[in-house]
Amino acid sequence: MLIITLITLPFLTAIGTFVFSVRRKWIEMLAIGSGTLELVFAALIVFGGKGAVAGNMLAQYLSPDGLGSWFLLVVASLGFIGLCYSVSFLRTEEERGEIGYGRVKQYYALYQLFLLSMFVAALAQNMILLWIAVEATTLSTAFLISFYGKSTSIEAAWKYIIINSLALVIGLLGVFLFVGALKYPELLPVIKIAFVLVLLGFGTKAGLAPMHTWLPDAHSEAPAPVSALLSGALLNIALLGILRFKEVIDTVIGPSFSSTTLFFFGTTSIVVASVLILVQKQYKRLLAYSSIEHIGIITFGFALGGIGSVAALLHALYHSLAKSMLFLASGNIVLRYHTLEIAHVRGLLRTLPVTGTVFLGGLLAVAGVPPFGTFLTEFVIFTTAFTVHPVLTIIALFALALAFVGIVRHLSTMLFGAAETDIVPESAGSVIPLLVTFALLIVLGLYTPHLLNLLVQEAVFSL
Amino acid sequence: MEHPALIIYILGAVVFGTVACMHLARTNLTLVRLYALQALVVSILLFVLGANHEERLLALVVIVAIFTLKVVIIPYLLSSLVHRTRSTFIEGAYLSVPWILLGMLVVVFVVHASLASLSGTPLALLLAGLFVAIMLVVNSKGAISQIVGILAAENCVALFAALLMLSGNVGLELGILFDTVCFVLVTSTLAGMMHKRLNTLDVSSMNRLAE
Repeated sequence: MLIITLITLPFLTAIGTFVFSVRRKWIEMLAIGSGTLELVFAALIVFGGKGAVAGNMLAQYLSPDGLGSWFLLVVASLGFIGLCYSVSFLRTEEERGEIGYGRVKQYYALYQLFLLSMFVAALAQNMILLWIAVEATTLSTAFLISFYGKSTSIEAAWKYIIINSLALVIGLLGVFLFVGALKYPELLPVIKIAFVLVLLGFGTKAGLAPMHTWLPDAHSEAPAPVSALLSGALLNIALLGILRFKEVIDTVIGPSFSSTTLFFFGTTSIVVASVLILVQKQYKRLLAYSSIEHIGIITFGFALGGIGSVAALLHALYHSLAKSMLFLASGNIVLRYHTLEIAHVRGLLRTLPVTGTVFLGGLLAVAGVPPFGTFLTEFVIFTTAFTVHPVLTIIALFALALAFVGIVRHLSTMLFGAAETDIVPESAGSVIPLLVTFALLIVLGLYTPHLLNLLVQEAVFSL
Repeated sequence: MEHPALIIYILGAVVFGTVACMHLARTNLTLVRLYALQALVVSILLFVLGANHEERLLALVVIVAIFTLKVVIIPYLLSSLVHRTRSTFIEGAYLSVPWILLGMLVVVFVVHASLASLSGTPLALLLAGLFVAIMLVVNSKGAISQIVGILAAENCVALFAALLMLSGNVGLELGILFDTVCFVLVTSTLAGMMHKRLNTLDVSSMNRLAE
């Protein structure tokens, strides 16, 4: 019943957004109320044990296992934080005349459909259903990316939907071949080809290089809360798709094939993203490339298996929190500085002290600086990797050093320098979600609660 | 070859032929009609394959849904987009026709050489059709060509799965169909927005985000 409720709630909220659209306050309350309930239901499904999902009629298709639960929790949490931030963000955008009220309604409805498709993907226990849900994320987010209706946002949305849909059609062939290989023994030899096709399909969606080309455009053109969810939640969901198939192929033919391919894509992503971070001129694109880098690190960790998978799962959580927070902070910056250019943002720490501090903290977290959890997880992943693939590890570490230099260089440009005088101060609604995420990032980096530990163990057990 | 196998092979060849002709089409409406023809052949093929299906009635429901949506509604939506934007002629391609034909030849040769054991079945043709459809998406500058290319690729994959009896149950098949229709709705709306902004459906004119 809980699962059905979790799936139904975003759908009903999306419809309700248009029914209650007479007053702006009503749809805002509906969005936040629904986001809260979704988080509560997700937590009950994840932590409530078997009793919480007893009598699930859809168990064959939708049920929570360790891995899916982990990502379900991440999606629900970031979805809720994003909704809270969206209220003040959209109000400011409307006041600035960037959007009309019609767009606001459309935003809240599509946001819920986006969450719905990610919930289904996280809970999917059937390979074809997983594909349907991941494709649904593409369709529900296209209009969120083209939200502003500018030529650049339409360009980003077009690239996003065409590249991802084409990749997912290739992935669908992989899914069918996978199903075939498991069903008919004579098709077993094609399981490796099936895995590569699945990796191409879901890997494109996850932003793995060299299939990442849609990602910087989509992340930089979407409204800040959507970018936060795209980077913090959607990339993980696509990666979950790959992991679902990895579980199976590892059981059938052993882990060496999937590990080798994941090492390749992981390292390529880290290297490509790190080089491009150095030359970025816009801060949202910088964050987007950093997402590619981190998806590479997480993939690298999962390729290792064992302790590497534990670190990769935790890294996925820390990265999701840090990156969502950074994209939300970028929303505050763009609303006040009216630019995406790094060179045009100066004195952030003085003009927007809370946003500036959070931005500093977030960028240090994604750069892997202690005491943030990312330092520990990267340390574990690369020390473990060194014993298996020393050359790849050195290449990856060199690339990470480059990325670190790039981030620090850009950060110093934005944070310091002469403060601009005509900047509108931050409102409470625009900084509270940032502070909550920052607090979570610090606390979870220093201390992992027992329940989360159990969840990690359960998730890694299946990998 | 027995009669049904021969029919299936011929229909599979028609599916491939429609994808190949899409590269040579000069107007967007021809492209849409080729897609409608391909979808019709897919429906007939699924009907032939569904004759031996254990749950014949449910298979029929899926075939009727596929026919209604892919043969009637999707072509209607795409034709409306063509009329609305007055984009009669295809916006062009990166490669010229001789190069495209050469590319198709290479694809067919490589796929057939790799799948020699499947000769006599249309599986190799459908795989070749998938790659030729991917070529259409990558090579075209027109928004409608890209949409139709992806739809054609999806048809080839769906048929490939149906021939190997790998499609999921009715619910999942309808789920994939639902995604396909949503894809057309979203992309045709985006193409409309693109036309309104840029006065063209040539996607190569959208290059402001290029690095």
